[in-house]
Amino acid sequence: MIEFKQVVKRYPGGLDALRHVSVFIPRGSITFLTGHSGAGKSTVLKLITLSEVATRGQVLVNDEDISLFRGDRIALHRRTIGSVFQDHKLLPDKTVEENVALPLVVAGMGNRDCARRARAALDKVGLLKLCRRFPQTLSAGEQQRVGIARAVVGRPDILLADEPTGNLDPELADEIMKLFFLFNQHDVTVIIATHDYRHLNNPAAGLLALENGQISGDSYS
Amino acid sequence: MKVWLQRHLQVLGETLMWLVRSPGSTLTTALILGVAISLPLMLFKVSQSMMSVTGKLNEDSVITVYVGPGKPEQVEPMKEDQLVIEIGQKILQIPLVSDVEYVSRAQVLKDFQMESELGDLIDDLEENPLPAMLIVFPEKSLIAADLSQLVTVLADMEGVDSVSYDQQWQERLQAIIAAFMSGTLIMASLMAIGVVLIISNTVRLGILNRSQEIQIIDQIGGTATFIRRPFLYFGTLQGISGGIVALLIAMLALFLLARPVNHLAGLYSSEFRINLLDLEVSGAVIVVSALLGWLAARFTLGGYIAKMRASARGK
Ligand SMILES: Nc1ncnc2c1ncn2[C@@H]1O[C@H](COP(=O)(O)OP(=O)(O)O)[C@@H](O)[C@H]1O
Ligand SMILES: [Mg+2]
Repeated sequence: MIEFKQVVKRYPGGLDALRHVSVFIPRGSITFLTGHSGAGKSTVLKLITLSEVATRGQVLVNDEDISLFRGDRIALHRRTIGSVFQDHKLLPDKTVEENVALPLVVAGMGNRDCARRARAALDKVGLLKLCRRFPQTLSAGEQQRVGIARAVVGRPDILLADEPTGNLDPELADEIMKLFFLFNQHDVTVIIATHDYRHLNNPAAGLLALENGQISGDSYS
Repeated sequence: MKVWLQRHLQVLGETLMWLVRSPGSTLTTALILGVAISLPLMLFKVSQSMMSVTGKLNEDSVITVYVGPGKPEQVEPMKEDQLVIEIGQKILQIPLVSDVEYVSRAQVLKDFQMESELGDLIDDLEENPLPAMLIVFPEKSLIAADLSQLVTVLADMEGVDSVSYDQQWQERLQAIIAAFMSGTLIMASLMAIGVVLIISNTVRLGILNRSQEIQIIDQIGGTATFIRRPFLYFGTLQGISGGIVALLIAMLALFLLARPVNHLAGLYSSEFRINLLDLEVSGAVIVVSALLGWLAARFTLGGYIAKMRASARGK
């Protein structure tokens, strides 16, 4: 589970992106994080991965205050999280399979296991046949699915997606969303930041609404 | 362990590809590094060759010790010779001395008469005015400083009148070698700084080119060690390439220098030989260049990663 306690995030320049945010996200849940652009959605996700550190308050993951993590402990923490980005963040000089295998390589897994699990992950998102291609030869929807395969290949406890459907047309977006619900059924805690309101009425998902750095709606409380 | 080795070999291969893919900048860097490293290397080789000359010179150098002041009318000749032999034995105890030869007064007189036209003059004297001599052979490994120390010790010994030793040009040579050696040291330090700066700069460019990759790897749980690894190989390989170029440059230069220098040495009937690079020196050059490359990469990356981590904390 993930818990924010009175979290304040102030970026250099003085602006408070989050102002005393307190939320509790249960283990195994799937949550939509919504709000207008600049509300602080990305900041919430970055605090969970420790890409940013809270200025005040606490971010707890499995009851541990992650802001106390340093050095390699941060790397280990990130290996329990899969991240999907709006712009995919795939490496252009590596094949699709190599991109997907990267989290496993980083974690010190042997080449053969890496390849096997990368292919399994690509199979789950329906792209096994493209494993030898390079990312820039793929469509936006395919690239996003490669990004998702990379996020889940390490069997993370938590899956974070920052506007994963932002660049996609509605049918593709629906397909991507289906994948997230699929992974959630395997006990992965999923948080999806989106301002695509079409998906928000899914009864299986929790909802967190942000407005100007504050919680304006919370289906968990 | 197997995975670890596999990973290292893989990174080594990838880094070699990275260097090969931009042959222009790789070669330019290797040449710049090579020139920088070759200068102190050549100076070192020249000083080293000069040292072997001094070694040879010592073989010929002897110290002549005159014993006295003799008061022949008070001491019987036999007794005096006994005294000189005792002093000779004391001298032989000194660690820096390899051998002592005793030349009696009578022998000195004989030699003098045979070698000198003044010999007849001495015949006219009642007494033999020449003192007995000890010829001291120093250890061959002695350098000039040790020799002059030995000379002082001998001169201060009881019963010794005077000591003669031709040491001036030895000392001069020694001073020149010392100057060469400090020159080598200064050049080597400057070279080390230069090499670190040059490689640090190429590593910085590499970081810029691969910043997206670094950020992604950081994001998906790569440790600092993992992020650093390809860059450490990159810096080390560049250092090695510079070391190899430096060896080639130095070998060529020493080859060209060897003939005229040996000819010059021959004129002084001296055994001065510039030898080409031996395995030990070549190995040391490669190891040191590799180490400097590694250090440059390590520090450059350390700074970069620290900055990346600090920015997350809003610093
Ligand atoms: N690195 C940063 N430096 C300064 N300000 C930032 C930074 N990142 C985000 N912000 C600001 O914080 C606020 C929240 O940003 P963000 O969390 O990205 O919002 P959202 O993802 O909901 O659009 C915005 O006003 C944005 O300008
Ligand atoms: Mg955002």
